[in-house]
Amino acid sequence: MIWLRRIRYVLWSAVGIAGFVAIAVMLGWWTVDGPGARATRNAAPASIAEIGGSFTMTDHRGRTVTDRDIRGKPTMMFFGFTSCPDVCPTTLSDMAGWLEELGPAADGLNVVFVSVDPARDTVEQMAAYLSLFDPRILGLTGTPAQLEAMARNYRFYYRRVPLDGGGYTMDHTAMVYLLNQDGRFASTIDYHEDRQTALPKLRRLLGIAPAG
Amino acid sequence: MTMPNPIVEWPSINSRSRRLFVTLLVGFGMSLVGFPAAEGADHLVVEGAWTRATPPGAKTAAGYLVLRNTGNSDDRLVRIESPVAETIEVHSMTMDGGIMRMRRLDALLTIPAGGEVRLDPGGLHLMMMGLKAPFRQGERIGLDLVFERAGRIAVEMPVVRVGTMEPPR
Ligand SMILES: [Cu+2]
Repeated sequence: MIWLRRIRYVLWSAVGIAGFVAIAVMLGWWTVDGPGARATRNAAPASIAEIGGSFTMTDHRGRTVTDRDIRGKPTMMFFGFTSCPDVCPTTLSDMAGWLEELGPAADGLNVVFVSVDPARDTVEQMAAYLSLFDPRILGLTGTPAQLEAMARNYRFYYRRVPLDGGGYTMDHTAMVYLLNQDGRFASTIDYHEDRQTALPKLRRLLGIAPAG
Repeated sequence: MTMPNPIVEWPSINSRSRRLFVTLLVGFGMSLVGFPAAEGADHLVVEGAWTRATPPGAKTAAGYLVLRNTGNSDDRLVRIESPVAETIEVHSMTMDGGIMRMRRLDALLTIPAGGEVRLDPGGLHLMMMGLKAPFRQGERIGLDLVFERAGRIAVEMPVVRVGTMEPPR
């Protein structure tokens, strides 16, 4: 029976193709996401315990700010740029909302917005931009070298990406870092994490009991 | 398309009025299903457009909306025009390992026949660059979407509070 043999050929080819696909997917996973993936430089924190250290930047009022100025209080730190249309204003607005909900306890917290776009984010630009948000948010910008040094110590990622129509945008770490009062890494708040989890993290950082 | 056959037994009606009745019935049925849909500008519906107030000095804003294609053929968004910004593009945003990346779409945005494309926070957005003036809460921002087939559709985006993540109701 010829047609029976044909069906057998077809079935065996299907098995072969399925096997090939399965192996290809496995190999792809191994090299891209799996143990075979090359570590990305300067991306996710290699060792979170190492996050922190020295920096020298300029705040949105034109004053020099170093890591020593934020010691003694825990810190909530976010990285972005003022030409960012979605994540940055949204997160700054979230941070302002958390400060409001923390009430007077929020005074025990440094809140820092670090610009990853020093070319466009001048002191004046940072001041204008932050005027829409909580006045307790401190904007930091600096020279490209100062930013690079800070990124190395705080292990945040940023990269300038040209846009086809001219101009550029910035890829950047969009997590909120929480640092303890010694300036060492404590935890993160991810982009649009629930208020239910963000606030307890902040209260824990501040060493205050949850409300209610 | 198959329609249920309504003529089974109609002993008391003469054949001409029966034919008329069937024609009307089929026509009514088709009008319900929307087939054959007239392929005009009205196959593309733009809904729920909104944008956020921009901080002073900000030169960019993101716009969100839903594009619904009720027609039988795909359509594509060719360009966006507005006097409020120098350039408006469709961008994607991805969040991977805590890193935010924003890119211009390589190809024109396709709105599939009978489908919809949503531009929502954290994903696709209209990227408005080189704003002539900040967007203030309560304003309405006008722009024109130009589609390959549907042509030009004027859209108004209400400006809501900064930090908003949901379309206004
Ligand atoms: Cu964009």
